[in-house]
Amino acid sequence: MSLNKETVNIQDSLALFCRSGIEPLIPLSRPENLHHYRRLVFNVVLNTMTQAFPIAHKAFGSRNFTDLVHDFFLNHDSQTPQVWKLPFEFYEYVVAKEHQEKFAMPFLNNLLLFEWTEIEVHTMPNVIPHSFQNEGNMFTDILIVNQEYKILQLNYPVHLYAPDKAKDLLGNYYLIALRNPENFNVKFLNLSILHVYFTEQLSIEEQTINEIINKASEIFNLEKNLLITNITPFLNDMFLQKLILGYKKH
Amino acid sequence: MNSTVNIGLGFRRDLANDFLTQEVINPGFIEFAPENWIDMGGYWGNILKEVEQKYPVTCHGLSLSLGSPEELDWKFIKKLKIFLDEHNVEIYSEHLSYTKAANAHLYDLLPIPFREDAIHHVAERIKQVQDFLERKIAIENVSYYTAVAAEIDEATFINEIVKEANCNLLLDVNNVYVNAFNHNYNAKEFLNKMPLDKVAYIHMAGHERVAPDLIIDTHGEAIIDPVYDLFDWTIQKMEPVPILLERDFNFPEMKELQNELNSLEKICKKHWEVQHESK
Repeated sequence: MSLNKETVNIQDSLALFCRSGIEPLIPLSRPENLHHYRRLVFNVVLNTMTQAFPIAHKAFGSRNFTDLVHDFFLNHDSQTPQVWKLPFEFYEYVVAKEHQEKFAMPFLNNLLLFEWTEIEVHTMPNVIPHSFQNEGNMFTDILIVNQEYKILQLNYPVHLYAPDKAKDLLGNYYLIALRNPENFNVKFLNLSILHVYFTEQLSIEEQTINEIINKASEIFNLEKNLLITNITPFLNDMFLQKLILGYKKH
Repeated sequence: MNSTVNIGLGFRRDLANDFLTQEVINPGFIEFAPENWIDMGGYWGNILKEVEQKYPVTCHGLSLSLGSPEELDWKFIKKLKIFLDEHNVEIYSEHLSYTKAANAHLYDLLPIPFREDAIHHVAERIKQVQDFLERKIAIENVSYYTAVAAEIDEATFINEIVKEANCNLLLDVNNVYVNAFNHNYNAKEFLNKMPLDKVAYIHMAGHERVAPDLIIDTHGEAIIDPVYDLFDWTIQKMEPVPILLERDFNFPEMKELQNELNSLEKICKKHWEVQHESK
């Protein structure tokens, strides 16, 4: 690097001022304007987080949320060059700092993950599905799955209720964030643990539902007929929701 | 972008439908920041594909941080190269500033100290990026609100970097106006010192005067007459290049934006089409 140490220090101290507000001891032609840099930089970050986490913003209140973003921006070294991906770093920071305990908001990690997941699935790169047919047998043909989804496991139902209500409903909640391949809208759907298993199995390799039922029967220690009864309405619904796109002859 | 006069408009999501319908605004090309679109699929990825079918594309980077003391982000630059190729980007430009230091991105443009060592450092980084991307980049003169530990003047700083890096210049005429106002120098004298033969592209924008002695480069207002005048004066000294109107927020009626594009076009035609015909 051809920069000398003094120039590096000058540049670093200006950047650190933007994050901390600690005024740098460097020669400035118009020192009275320095604060504009801190204001402009922070506004970008705050606007990004406010837009990404509207429910968390409301739950915290504007002032507390701004304080939290200040804390993040001061103490976290943002790594992504793409600011729209920064909310994921914010989520990771809040989890690592155990802020949900600090703020007595036990649902906080779940809420931020839920809000980020909507962005993540809405923006995720398109995955071109394998070719499929519209007619087939649900149990003996391979089912072609829309891969534009993410499965979440939450302890609080922040996808169903406002944080105030969700905080009293500790439990195990599985859901899928699914992007519709036609209109690109993201929908969150509740899943059971069995549905999670079937969804994951359909995605990881080409296999028929009958083959998955055989494996599930052993893993969950359930009769095959019971599994068929349970899984059939789920599969029908997933066709309607466009998680399952069609059939490939086995 | 073959015509002598080519006026583009920054593509912003708030205006996506207006760009697609072309009912009121119909720029000659569009510009967007690759950082906002790399890895983007779904609804917005699809919109970008649609809009790219209607307009030629230029890209204006935000996070390359050419003036940074940090290492270049090669993982990002590799993605950038693929993106520029896939999207048939005709001109790629970046800011003569830095956005990352002390191991953190800041997502806004900080002023590089106008110093000799910074010239060599920035020029070397531009050369590395150009070599990798296999294309020249155009670097933009940025607005700044205080000079930081400057040892040489701004014009020398820009000139030396363009010369040493063998890159192009994106001349932001509004930034020249803003800096001349904020730092009390003569904009035309400054422009006379610029390597105008290296200008590949021009930006025009509005700004906001926030104090009697301070203008902030907001891109949130219409271009003011003195900036049009400076633009008129400047382009007489240059060969035709594409002109881009930047508007990032506080959007007016589309008719007003189209009027701004028309005003820029009129000025360009006055100087460039006449000049072109007489050759």
